[in-house]
Amino acid sequence: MSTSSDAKVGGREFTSIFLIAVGMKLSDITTTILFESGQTAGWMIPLLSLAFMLVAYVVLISVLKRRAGQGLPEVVFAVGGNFGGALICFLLFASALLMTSVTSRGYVDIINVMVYQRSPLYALYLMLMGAALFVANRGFSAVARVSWLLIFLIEGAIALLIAIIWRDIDWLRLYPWAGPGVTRIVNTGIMHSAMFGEIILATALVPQVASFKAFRIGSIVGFIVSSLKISLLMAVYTAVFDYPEIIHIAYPFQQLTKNTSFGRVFTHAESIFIAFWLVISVIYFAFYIYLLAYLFSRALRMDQHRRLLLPMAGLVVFIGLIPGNTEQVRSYWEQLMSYSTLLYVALPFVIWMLDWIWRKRHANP
Amino acid sequence: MRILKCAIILPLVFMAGCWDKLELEEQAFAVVIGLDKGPGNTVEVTFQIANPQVGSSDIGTAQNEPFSDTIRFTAADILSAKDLANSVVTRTINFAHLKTMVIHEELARHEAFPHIAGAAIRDPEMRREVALIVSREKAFDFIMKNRPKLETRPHKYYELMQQRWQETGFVPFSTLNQYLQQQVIESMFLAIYATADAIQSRVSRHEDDYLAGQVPKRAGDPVQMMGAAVFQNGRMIGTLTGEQMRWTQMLRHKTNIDAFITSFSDPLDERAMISVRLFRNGGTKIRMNLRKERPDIHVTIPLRVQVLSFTSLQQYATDVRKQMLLERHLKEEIEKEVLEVIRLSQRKFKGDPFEWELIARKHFRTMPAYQAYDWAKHFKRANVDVKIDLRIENFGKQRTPYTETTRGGG
Repeated sequence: MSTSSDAKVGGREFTSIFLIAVGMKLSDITTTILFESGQTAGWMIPLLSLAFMLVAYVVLISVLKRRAGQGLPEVVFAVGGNFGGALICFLLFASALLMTSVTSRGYVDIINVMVYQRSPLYALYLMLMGAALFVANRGFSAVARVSWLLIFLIEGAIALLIAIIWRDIDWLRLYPWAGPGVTRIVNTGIMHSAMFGEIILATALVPQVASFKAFRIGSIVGFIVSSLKISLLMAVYTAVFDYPEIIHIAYPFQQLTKNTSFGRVFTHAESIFIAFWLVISVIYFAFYIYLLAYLFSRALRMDQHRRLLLPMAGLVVFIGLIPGNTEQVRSYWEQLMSYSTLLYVALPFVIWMLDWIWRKRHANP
Repeated sequence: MRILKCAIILPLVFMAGCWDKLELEEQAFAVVIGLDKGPGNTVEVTFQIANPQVGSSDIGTAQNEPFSDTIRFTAADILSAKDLANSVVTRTINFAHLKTMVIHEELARHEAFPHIAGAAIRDPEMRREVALIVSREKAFDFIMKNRPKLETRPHKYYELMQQRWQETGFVPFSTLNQYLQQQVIESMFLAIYATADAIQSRVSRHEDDYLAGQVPKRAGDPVQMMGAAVFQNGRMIGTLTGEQMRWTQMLRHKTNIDAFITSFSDPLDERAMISVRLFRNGGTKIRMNLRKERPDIHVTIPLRVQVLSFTSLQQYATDVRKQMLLERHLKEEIEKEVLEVIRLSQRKFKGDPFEWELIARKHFRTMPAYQAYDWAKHFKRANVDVKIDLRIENFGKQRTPYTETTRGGG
């Protein structure tokens, strides 16, 4: 299988994957949940979460730097042995799988509630995942190339959205600036760090990227820009809808686009944004399905991750259909977030420790 | 493998849009909804459904059809009325082009109204920027009587009216979004006040000191939109006249209204009036001192004035001393009127319609601290002083009154 789709991915394509996959969180249930505890200061949470996550990331990078060309699973197997490696890989896989299931269910809920109310949930789910599978099947570099193709359109659409909503923005609504209090904000920010957990998962893809430098710059730029974007949009939601109304709104992004119009002639501009949003959610889940298959195959130390794409997509749909309604999805999301934060933050330190022991053992033969 | 792929993907193409397909031909677009109090816990929902064939090039096939159809149903809420409507209407009722909601004053004052409005927004077709109008008579009568001569199509009427509202400032530009926002905070919400029954028309020296129904006019469309309905905690509690409404908008730190024409008494001639166009010269500045038990609020309204006409025929344009006199007089008059509105809201409504709570929020670090402060309670007792920063910009295109030259020449 040495087609061009298995070629290595360049820096800018890799960056745009993260700009899409992470930036996407500005439009889903993540923001709604953050507003509940963040109140008027909700917009600070993504910045705090990322700052916290970056500490773990730097520790992990310091280990990866010494093992050129190796991704997270390879490193884990090298330093943790067969058992430890498999265990860590499966933990990561399980957390990514659950996260993907719950998030994708959230997306399907949004489509169901906001656009296609009469369509059954499973049909929407199958269609979304079917499309994502179709993209993922082309390989990682295809996902990356599509992201690079669309990234300017997407960022342009967000800029356009802010521009046309500008009249409705009143920045005074962001006061009182500390929301529920500084300690609570910092606390929530840390507890929801897993929202940027992709930054740890992404290190599995190091061998797929052209160079380690490209990987490092791509992931850092992608994540920082995305968190700024999420933060900005959350500030805009608050400035348009105001607290406490913002916590009553289920999907602020979709409601915001419903308020848009270009002058008096084009009054229903949301259809443009919905179209964009659907396209990028397909890319988003294509990336996730690929990542899941990749992690799973590496956990079993096999190379055939392509065959796993279909079962992974199926698994995501099955797990995603378990929650009964939209509110259950939220509470699962919340729980998952706090558990996986623990995993993502602790893991780099564990790997660093193992690496340190490994080096000690191999330093003096 | 290829066949398998096709087998998976092809059905997706055919499945798309099966459940939520919408045939354009089978839609009935409700452009106005009216809400009245029904018996028991029901509401009477009036739909004005536009006929898209009228006013389009397709008029040939529907020459004898009216421009819209108005029907009223009694149901538990708006959404159930929507399905009930299909017992009469041949097409599916669609809210996607709903622009305006008319609410009977009695219902707006009723305790159930916040529930009805809050329940309606759950429907994704219901847009948050729907304009809210409170009508003095039943919403059904209002919609039935509203037959504008120059605008046959109802959506156009409300669309154009919306533009005029933002120019004149007689009514607040109020949407469902603002209503829902201010229902939960301590600010008061202002909705457009309108009526189709001009019963108590009276004549005032000031052209804006009217409520809907009082505007002195003859002939034309019976609907008048003037003044505001004041809401507190989601329920209507009173009204503001057009004049009070204009000053209220000027007192807000951010508004859509930048300029309007109004009149004041002439300082040199009691019987005469001066018409001016006022521009907001930058934002209204509001400073607060919340440390005290009775907070101090200092408001500065920067204004630019264009003097349009003065019936006294004084030489304001050329005489600098008279100009200064006029300037001082305008300042005093405006200050008086503004303070009157503030006092009215402090004493009668006991709430803040000026959105000053946003400014007050700046003085607090955390939300719990602000909520504990209870802005509504402190606003009632606040010492408010108003400063008008006024500059006369020009006197129109005539320099001297025409009598001046005849007198001077004679």
